[in-house]
Amino acid sequence: MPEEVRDPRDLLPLTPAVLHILLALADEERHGYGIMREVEDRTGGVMRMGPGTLYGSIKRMLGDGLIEESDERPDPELDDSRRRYYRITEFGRRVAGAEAARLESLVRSARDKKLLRGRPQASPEGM
Amino acid sequence: MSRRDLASRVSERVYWALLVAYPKRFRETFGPQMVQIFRDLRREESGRRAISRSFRVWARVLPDLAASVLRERFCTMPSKLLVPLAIIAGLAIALVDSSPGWDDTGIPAAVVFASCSLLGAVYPARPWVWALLVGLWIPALGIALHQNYASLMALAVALAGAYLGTLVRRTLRPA
Repeated sequence: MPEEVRDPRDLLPLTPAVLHILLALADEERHGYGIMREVEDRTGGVMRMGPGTLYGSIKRMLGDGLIEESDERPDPELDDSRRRYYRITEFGRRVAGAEAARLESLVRSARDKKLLRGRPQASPEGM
Repeated sequence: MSRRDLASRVSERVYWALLVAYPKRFRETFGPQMVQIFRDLRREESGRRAISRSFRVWARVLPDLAASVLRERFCTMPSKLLVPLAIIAGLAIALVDSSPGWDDTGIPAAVVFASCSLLGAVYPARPWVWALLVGLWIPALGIALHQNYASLMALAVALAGAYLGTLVRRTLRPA
């Protein structure tokens, strides 16, 4: 089915591993170890994936059209050219956005019910 | 080659060998990359003593390997609904076959063969699973109740049926 007509909400909720991989690929292409490092650094070591979990998720994400393998290979002098790089697809971006909106709504509900202390940070414009 | 290099190489070989637990297609597609990550993880811990480094890397990859093998194996298993049905069918055939008044082995064998052929044709990925689920019960009851070792032939019939079903399905598969 073409990505334009697929509803991103059909794939929600995402597993934590899939969401973290999409976030890791949102700004640049990465290879498997690069994804693992980015996730670990971003979460302060809370989310630590092993190779099996990582590639199991990657396999399903490739099948769902959330990511794709990149044709570009790094300069062999800078990196191992045998590594495979992955990048997020347009559909993957839409799914990640839908999941973020779902989580945002959940957090809002938790805040309304006083389960979450603190207020959302004000934007620079004071809105 | 230094002892450290040798230890690294042996560790990698052991990890590579453990990847055999994954389904073949998964291992062929992602195995080399997983070993590359294993290598990266060892490099990450390179400042530590050899024993500590090995322990930390294995402590990270082994639980992940066990959990993900189960996940990948489960994902490639035949339909969850058909598994209990196959077991029930196999048990029912075995109970009829082992009942005192029943002396016709041809009919249970034909039913086992037909059931396994059908299952193998519907889900051709694992014909041997269907053969075991359906065909194991006749020899199990036959040997347990009557010491009838000839009933092991039912397994051969089940395997033949399942693989024939798979063959037919693959032959008739549209290009």
